[in-house]
Amino acid sequence: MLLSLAIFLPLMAALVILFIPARYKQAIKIVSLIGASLCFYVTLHVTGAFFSREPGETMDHFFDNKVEMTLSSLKVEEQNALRPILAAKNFAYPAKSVTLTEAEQKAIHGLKLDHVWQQLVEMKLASGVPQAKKMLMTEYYEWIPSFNIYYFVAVDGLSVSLVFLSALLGMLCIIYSWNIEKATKGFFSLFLLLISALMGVFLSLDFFLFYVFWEVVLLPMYFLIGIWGGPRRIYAAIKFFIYTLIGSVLMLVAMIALYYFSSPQTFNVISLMSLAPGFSHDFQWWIFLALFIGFAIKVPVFPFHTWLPDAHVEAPTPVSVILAGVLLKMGGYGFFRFNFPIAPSASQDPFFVWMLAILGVINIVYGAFCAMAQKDFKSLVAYSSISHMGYILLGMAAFTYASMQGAVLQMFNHGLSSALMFLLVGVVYERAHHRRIDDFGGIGLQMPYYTGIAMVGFFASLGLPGLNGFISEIMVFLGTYQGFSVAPNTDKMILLYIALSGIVLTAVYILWTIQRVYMGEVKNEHYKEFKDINAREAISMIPIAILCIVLGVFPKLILDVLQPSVDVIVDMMKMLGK
Amino acid sequence: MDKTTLTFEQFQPLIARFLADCQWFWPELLLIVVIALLLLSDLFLPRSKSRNLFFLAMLGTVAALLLVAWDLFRQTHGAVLPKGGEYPFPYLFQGMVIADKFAYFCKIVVLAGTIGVIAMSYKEKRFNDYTMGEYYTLLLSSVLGMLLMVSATDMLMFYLAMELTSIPSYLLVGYHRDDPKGLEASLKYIIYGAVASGIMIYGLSWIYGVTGSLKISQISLGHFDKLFSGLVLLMVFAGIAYKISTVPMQFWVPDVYEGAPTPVTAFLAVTSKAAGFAFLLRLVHALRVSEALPASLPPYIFAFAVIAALTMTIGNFMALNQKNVKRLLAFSAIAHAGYLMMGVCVFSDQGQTATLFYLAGYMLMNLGAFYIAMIVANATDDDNLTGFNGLGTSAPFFAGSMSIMLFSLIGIPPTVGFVGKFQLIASVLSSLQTVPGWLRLSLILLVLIAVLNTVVSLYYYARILKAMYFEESKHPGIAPSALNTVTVFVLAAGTLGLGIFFNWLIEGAKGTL
Repeated sequence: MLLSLAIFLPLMAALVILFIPARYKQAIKIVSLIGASLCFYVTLHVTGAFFSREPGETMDHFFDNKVEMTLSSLKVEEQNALRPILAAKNFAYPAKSVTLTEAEQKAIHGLKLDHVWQQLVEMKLASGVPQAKKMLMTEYYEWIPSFNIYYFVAVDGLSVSLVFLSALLGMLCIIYSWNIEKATKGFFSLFLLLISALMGVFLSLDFFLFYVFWEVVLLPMYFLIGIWGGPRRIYAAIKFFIYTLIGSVLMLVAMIALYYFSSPQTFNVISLMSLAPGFSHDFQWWIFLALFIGFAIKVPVFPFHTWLPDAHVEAPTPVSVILAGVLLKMGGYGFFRFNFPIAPSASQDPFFVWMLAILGVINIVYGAFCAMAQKDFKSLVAYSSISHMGYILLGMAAFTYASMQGAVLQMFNHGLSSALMFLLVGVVYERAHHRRIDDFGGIGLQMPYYTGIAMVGFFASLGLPGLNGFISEIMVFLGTYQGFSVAPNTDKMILLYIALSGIVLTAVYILWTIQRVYMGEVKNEHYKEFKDINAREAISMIPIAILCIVLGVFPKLILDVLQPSVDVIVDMMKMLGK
Repeated sequence: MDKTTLTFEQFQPLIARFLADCQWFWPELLLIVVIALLLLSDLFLPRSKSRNLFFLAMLGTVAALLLVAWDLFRQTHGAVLPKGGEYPFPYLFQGMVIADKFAYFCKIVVLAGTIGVIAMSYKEKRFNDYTMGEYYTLLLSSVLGMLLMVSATDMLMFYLAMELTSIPSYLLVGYHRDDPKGLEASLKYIIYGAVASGIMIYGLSWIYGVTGSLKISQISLGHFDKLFSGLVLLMVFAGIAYKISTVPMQFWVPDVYEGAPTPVTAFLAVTSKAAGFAFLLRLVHALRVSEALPASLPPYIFAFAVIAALTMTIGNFMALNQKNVKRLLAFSAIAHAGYLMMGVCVFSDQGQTATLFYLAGYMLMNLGAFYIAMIVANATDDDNLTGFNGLGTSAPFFAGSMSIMLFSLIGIPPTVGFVGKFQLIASVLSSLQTVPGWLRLSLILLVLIAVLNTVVSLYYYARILKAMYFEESKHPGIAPSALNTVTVFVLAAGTLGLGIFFNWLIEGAKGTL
């Protein structure tokens, strides 16, 4: 129930807003803040479950109980027919395709239990997967029986951090958007829809449901960039839309193919994980590729990245924050949730490992160089995102416990630091009405509090020890070294060395930016009228800054949550690799 | 039996069966009565009041829809005809038409679409007030043809029904008598229609010549040369392709859609296409189950797949640079015919279900798009995309509904367009495991072409979105009207609602043939 609340509370707030006349702007803002805060409050509870001693029922138990419940709701003779068949099949991970003998099929068909049987098998398969032991708060309701589609949501260590991040940033952005005057009603209802869809993306475990939410994210984003954006907003909006749609339609094809090639046919991601090792290598290879392109466009990975700077530069600040903080993570999350577990054999294919590693390094280095060359403050931050996303790919390519954890942690940390940086850019843009880095200077003298927060954000992004960015980067590098220094991977070591240069390059562009924007004399008389940050801006930035510091000093807080879920993925793959 | 001297006693069972058959023919009979009433009341009503015949036409269509629903209800609850005659129930009138669930499903789609079109016609500003009697008469005659078309099980019946559909629609297309564009459209439509039906009837005569029957369940071309039967079927397909506007019979679409009055355009795009597809599905199904084809299915699958791919690609690419909204929607209609062909081409039950589902969804979303395009054109006197400029702020309800329709046409969840496209793609992918290797690759290619076409279509649909929301010019606004609001709301809610709760519609469409 909690998870559904987290998904639908913002949506309900959006619906309420639709019935408020557009002239009551204050009421609209308050309702949206209430919606987003309630959603955040719910995610706090969800997150809390991962820290409590009794976290609640895990998914494997949930499904075991559900199987028993379903069976006992049947008539005695039906139970007697189904139980032995169910017991005879092996549902341990990795499971074989569940095929029935002709006699069994006849018996089930004769009792008109085909659909029940399908459900039972799906649940049995899901309960056998190791990841199911880490999943909490399962909700599982029938939605479209014709295609075995379920409303199926649950949360584990991998998704909980991103859910927390979306709710937090969503709430803070709504506070930050308090001064939006243009079409207020539209802005806030779209923004709430966006939060809802993001929650849905990270929580759904039915591929169809996931796809629906994934696509719904596009719609508000398109309008938010296109209506409230900068001068080239229309171009940026349609470019964003077209790029991501290409990725998602490929994902759609992969999803439907998975459905028809799995036996029993299912969209249940956990059941698919159970069946995945049984898919042929070639099939997995194509699935991996299609999903990879879909997610890579979102991350964005090097050749698909060109939409990002455009979208970021044109988007209004709060939208940039969500875009960098959460939307990019949808891609990374997709790799962990879908690519690796559903195409385990393909993801160990040397081709893909090389591809991930090389693209990761290109992202790191190329992104950093591009960032260095930017004249626009916002597009610098955008390119720095591309650079930071490279660490995730590198960590996935190395595929050790540490590197994978580092990659997931990097997603969260980048979500914080890039969100903070975009807010910082937004604050200065609102005062200066331009973003040309070279024309700034001396902001530090004028706005000391603001600059204090800025230092946290920029140094977190730089990877300064003591701030959160450092932890994830060092974990990725250590893990990658671990992975690449052993036998078959030693020839990839060179990639690690190139990637290491990313640290220096990041320092170069971050420090240079700090110097140009915040240090030195006040360049422009006009800047002397700048006021330091107001309450609205402070409330939206300070929580992020605090989190950056806390997680930099005490990363165990989040590592303990995500470690089990990430380690399970690595364990699964290692087991299948043997 | 001596055929030349039939006595009355010999006739009697035939008459009895005929009268019994009529019990399953109420919707059509009702429409005939309404058509006659329309003609008559047009005579007695003052010319200037002819717009009021809307109420009669609307009432008649709604009543027909209810009768269809009642028939469906009766049949699902086991009501059948007394036995007798050569053809078992649900064949009616000596096997000319059939009263099966498939026909009911399509009739509901056609009649529901017609209700929307009638509502549109009432609101179309450009119709003059004194010729609406003829208009509704022609419209409903065409609808009658469609009802027969979707239930025809005899090629001759189909041909007659198709002509009954087409001939009134030629007149409807040129309904603005003094508009040269409309006349050009009408003429084009007639010429194309005449050629297509000519080719088709030539093919039919071959079928009749060699098999001695025109019943679609009895077409058995199995003994004949592959090339011969392929050609004959191609000729028949030409007639249907004209109705459903697939390659190579799609050239008439843009000019006709642009020149015709908008309600008529919607009528052609939605109901006429649904009726055409319905018959195509029935024919394909009959050919498949009776194994009437000389070659095995794969060559036919391949041919249809090529048609599907070409149709959607041509439609989408031609739409990219259109400035006229109706023309843009016309090309999009071609593209959608291509998507629909995906469901036909795989020759499977699932494909049929998917196509039927898409037809129902397409009815909602496309009718909605045309409806709002008409409202906007009426308000601005501008048929181009520029008419939509600034609609987002001046009429948020209509702009929001239009966005839903457009997202549905693109195929983005949670709308019925997405679910439909999902099923069409699923039906192609599900057939992968049953077809030979060489065909597998082409079907995968077809799916990739289809999804990439979706991306292409985004570009031009988004131009309407852009005009509505991103252009900052003033829009004159839209005069409030209860009928417009209600109809658009129903269509938008249907498009959205069926995108979320669609299981019942799948179940309704499943296994109807």
